[in-house]
Amino acid sequence: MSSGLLFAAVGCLLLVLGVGGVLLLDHLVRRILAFNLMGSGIFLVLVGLAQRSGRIDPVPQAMVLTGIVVSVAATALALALARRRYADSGSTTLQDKARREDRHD
Amino acid sequence: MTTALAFEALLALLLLWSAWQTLATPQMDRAVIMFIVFGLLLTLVWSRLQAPDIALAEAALGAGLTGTLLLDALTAFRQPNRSAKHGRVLAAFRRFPALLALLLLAAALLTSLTRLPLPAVDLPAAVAGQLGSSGVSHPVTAVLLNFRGYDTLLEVAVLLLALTGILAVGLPAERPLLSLNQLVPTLARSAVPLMVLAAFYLLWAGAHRPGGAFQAAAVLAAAAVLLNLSQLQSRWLPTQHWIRLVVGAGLLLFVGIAAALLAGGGLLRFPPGQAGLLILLIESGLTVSLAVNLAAFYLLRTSSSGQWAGQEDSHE
Amino acid sequence: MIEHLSTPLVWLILLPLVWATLAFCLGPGRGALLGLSGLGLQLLCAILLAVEVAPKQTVTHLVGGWQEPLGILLVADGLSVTMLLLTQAVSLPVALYAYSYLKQGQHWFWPLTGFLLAGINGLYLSGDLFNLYVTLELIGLAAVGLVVTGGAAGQVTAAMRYLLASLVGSGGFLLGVALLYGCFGTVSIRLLTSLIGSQAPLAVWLAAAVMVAGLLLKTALFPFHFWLPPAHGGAPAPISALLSALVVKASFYVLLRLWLGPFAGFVSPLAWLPALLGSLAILWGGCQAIRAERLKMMVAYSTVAQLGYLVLIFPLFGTGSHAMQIGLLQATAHGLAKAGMFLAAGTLVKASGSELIDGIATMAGRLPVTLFAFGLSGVSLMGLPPSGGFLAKYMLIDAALAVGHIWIAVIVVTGGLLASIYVFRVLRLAFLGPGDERQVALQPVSAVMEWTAFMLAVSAIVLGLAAMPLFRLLEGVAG
Repeated sequence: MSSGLLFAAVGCLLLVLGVGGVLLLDHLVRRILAFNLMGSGIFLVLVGLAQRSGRIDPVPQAMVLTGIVVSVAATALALALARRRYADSGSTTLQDKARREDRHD
Repeated sequence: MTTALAFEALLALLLLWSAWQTLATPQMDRAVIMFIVFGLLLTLVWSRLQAPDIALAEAALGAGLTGTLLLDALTAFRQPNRSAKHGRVLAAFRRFPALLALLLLAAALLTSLTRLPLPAVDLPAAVAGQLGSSGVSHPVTAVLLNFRGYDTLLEVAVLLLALTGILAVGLPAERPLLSLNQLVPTLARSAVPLMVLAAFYLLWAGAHRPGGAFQAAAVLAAAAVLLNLSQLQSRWLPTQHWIRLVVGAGLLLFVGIAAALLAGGGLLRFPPGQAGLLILLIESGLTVSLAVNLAAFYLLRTSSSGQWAGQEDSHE
Repeated sequence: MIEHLSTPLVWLILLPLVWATLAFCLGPGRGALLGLSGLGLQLLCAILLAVEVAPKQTVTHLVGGWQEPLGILLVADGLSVTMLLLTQAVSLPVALYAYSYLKQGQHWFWPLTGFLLAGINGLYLSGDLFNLYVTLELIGLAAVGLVVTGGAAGQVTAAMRYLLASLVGSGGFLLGVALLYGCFGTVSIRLLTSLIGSQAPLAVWLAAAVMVAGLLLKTALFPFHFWLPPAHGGAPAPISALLSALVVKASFYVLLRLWLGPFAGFVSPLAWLPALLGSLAILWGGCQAIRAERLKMMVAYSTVAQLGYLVLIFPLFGTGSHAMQIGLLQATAHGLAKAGMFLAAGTLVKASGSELIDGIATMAGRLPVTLFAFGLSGVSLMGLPPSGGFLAKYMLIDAALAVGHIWIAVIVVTGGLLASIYVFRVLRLAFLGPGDERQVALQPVSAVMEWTAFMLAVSAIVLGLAAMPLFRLLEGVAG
């Protein structure tokens, strides 16, 4: 197994973990973290698969650089929204207060 | 060979462990620290994959700047950052169907990796073949600024757009990130000049070895954040018009050059003779404006009072 | 040289980028004049491009002068030109409306809209999967920023939900790009189409699955529609119009391109699946629109339903029918009618001061232009003749019956009935409502707001009478 294929496989697991986190977790910062894990996983698949024969491929590497920058931009916007949500309602999740209390019962 | 493989296997396990911890650990601040650890491990992975440009970007942007933004955001959530419900991944087991679908996806993806066809197109060879007329000698920079420079143009727009979005959302000022001791300002005074030097080096190096505008800008932005942490640099306010002008100028320069090259027959069609110079010009402009753009993600606050205008403190 | 400089295709992307950046530099609330003149030029570019494409069927532009697979190819054909025309034709009147609607305040409407349009135009012209990913992110982030405009707490929550859905959607798309690149070594749509046959390896199947799922999430097709009603219903009216009329169509367009391009060899036996989801969308969205209490929520749920019609054409591809023409006619008719309806709804809400449908009752007999615009949009959404919506739905039923898909015809008719219930509910209140004593004083609304909505609604009707030029543009498109 080449390092490319190994880390592509790790990337698959990371992205599944990340998607699960974005969809299933509650705390907004946690979901934003999960989105970043998902992104890193996809980047590993992109470069790992392309370099599975051991040869360097600059094209997916450049794409991942673009992808990382886009992720940072999305993260910054998401964090601003999460902070605004907290300041407006005191909630760190997307659920409404009432519904959350229901679920605690 | 086997030591290398053993090291990579260990790295893979550590990476997965830190990712799991990021989602599963109960405390939010610990989760963010685990995420930064994840980013540093990922930097090692990228260097194992012979992708030093990505390693640099991941360290500076993925782990560094994103980590700082996350820690900064946590200070905004004044409530105890620990809750019985949140963050427990196991609690999510109630949502069984979704988990089952995710497991199936993981299994299918891993299976698919064992039976991949051989790529019909040899793009690395195409890049190597045209590298001579790209104006730079580092293949990743050639792809980023020349062969696929159009992606990069839109990517710069995405960064500016995110800043616009943040301005539209609004960000109040909170307490500073860390309780400061004497060490940080001293550290900052000596580190910041070095970081500026490093940024110049990265920008210049980008043409023929790993580095470039994005990495250089990330280091400059980190320097600005460090200055803020040591209280040598205050937060920025939207009334400081120069911020928007500098950020906008970088994109306008890039679009302007792209459009001017239309006269030569195509969008972003660099004449081989001047390609190197034009790419350096674009990268220099981008370094400054991207640095301000990235730093603004952290430094910019739409009010200095800690609350939005006209809004009462409504926290319980 | 002049000939190169005046490539309308490239300017459709550069113009909005430039005016968005300039508007950003000018500061909050500014840039309206730049934006409006930019939009005018864009409409001109779209028309010039249509004139250029019509005889040739395709116009291409090599970015950087590099051939595929090294470079990125921009492609304009009948399909992309139709969507580009729709985009510019809707955004100009909507922007005029917004200029009047958002006059005061610290909003960032102009730069956000500029980047949104740069993303949408870039998407329609892109022939490269990774480039499509970047345009999708540009569209997603701009749309989220727009949803927050106005700044109520509910909008922030809706925007956050929208952002997460959008990011997962583009994540799925990018994973597909990564798998395809791993299998074939290129992200050029044209090359991939010729490389992928009917015997796709598992990785390509997975790529198709995650890309289609990601795009359906972004298109808000049932059951992925959960984020749409609060985002579209909660944003200020001109923004709702942009989102409902244009943004969700962009990801649908990418889906269509993939379905008929790279994945065509192996996905066609599964065409019933999106059509099934579309049917459920029509029924569910229609019922929710009937139950809605707030006017703009009703219009938003109507979007959920109308998006369902777009995917009903999938089983008709390759049956010799005009599936592509039907789909694009529906997309265009819905774009015009829905923009008109959201603008009219915004005017009604602003004038009456009430977001509730029952608040319309106080409108009876007043603001006739706006009420007429609402009604005309409704006519097209219900599919009554002679509107564009009627022609699309009529052709859809005709084509479905011709190949024996009776269920599609039944769904279309049922959807039309549901639409007539929710549209007439508003119109009945508006025209026959208690023209009562408690005549509340209306807030003043500008003539621009009234007439832009009216214009859009009228175009949705006229489209039904003048669809032939549109069909001629599409003659060369695969499908």
